[in-house]
Amino acid sequence: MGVIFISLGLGVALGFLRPLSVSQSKMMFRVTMAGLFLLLVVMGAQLGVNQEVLNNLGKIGFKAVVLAGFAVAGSILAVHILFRWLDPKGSGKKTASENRENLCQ
Amino acid sequence: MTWFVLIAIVVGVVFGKWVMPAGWEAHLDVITSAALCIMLFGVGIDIGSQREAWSRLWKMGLKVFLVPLMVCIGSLGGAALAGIALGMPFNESAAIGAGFGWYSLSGVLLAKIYSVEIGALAFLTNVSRELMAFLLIPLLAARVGKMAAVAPGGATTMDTTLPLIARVTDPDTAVIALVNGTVLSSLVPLLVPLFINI
Repeated sequence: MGVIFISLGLGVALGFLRPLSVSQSKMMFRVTMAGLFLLLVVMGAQLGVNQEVLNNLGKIGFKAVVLAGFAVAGSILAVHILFRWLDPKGSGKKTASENRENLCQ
Repeated sequence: MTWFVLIAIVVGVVFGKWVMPAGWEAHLDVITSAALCIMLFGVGIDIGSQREAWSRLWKMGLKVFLVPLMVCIGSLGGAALAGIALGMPFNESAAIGAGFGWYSLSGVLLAKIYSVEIGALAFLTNVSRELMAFLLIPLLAARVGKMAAVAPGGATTMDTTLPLIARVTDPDTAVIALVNGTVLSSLVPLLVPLFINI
């Protein structure tokens, strides 16, 4: 847990002191996406290798999916209602910085 | 982005079930930790270089804490409602909901202080929550709003789902997501034992 906060903190400090150029930012995007891919593959592998989890998926999986679905729906609803109330027009508007996303996809 | 996530997980499950040599499980934890660190370092650089976003966060003030508050209320309420539908006691469903997607901690906590069955259910529920978050974040950001895209991730918006949120929203929202995940993560070890003992 500590290492996680240290990596994040180091990155924030470095980025704050020396903001990245556009090309460096693109390179960093590839690195973080590679990290995310690896993380998801390993998460999948941990589920795949665990026979007990796989066997019980049907039994408790249904309950788990219902609980998770309701918790997720409740969260989205609560946040959405709050921001619609605070800012009736603006909650979904695009900003200039979103162009970065278009650039990367 | 959703396909990227789905394909990665399917590749992982196939690899874990049929390809991976026995005894590699121990190394997986090291790989995840390393991948997470590299990724978070990159995300950190990205967030740190958005000086404008930080000054805006400063101006937002206490409003930024409304997001984790709403996610907390929504998660607990939603899980409790699901519990009623499934015929579960309130303390179990609320405690599972208070995991906010942090499956390793909520699962272990409940297995230790309550029962192994509820621990396993908390684990699977919060794994499902993280998977749902990965799938929903790009859709919510595109169709509903940036703040709504922060909601499903819960405690994971400070680490695993943060890179995804940062990519599909904007730097301001990424900072809010980081605050949201940090607040919710610190609430997990407090709220899970609290609710299970009600």
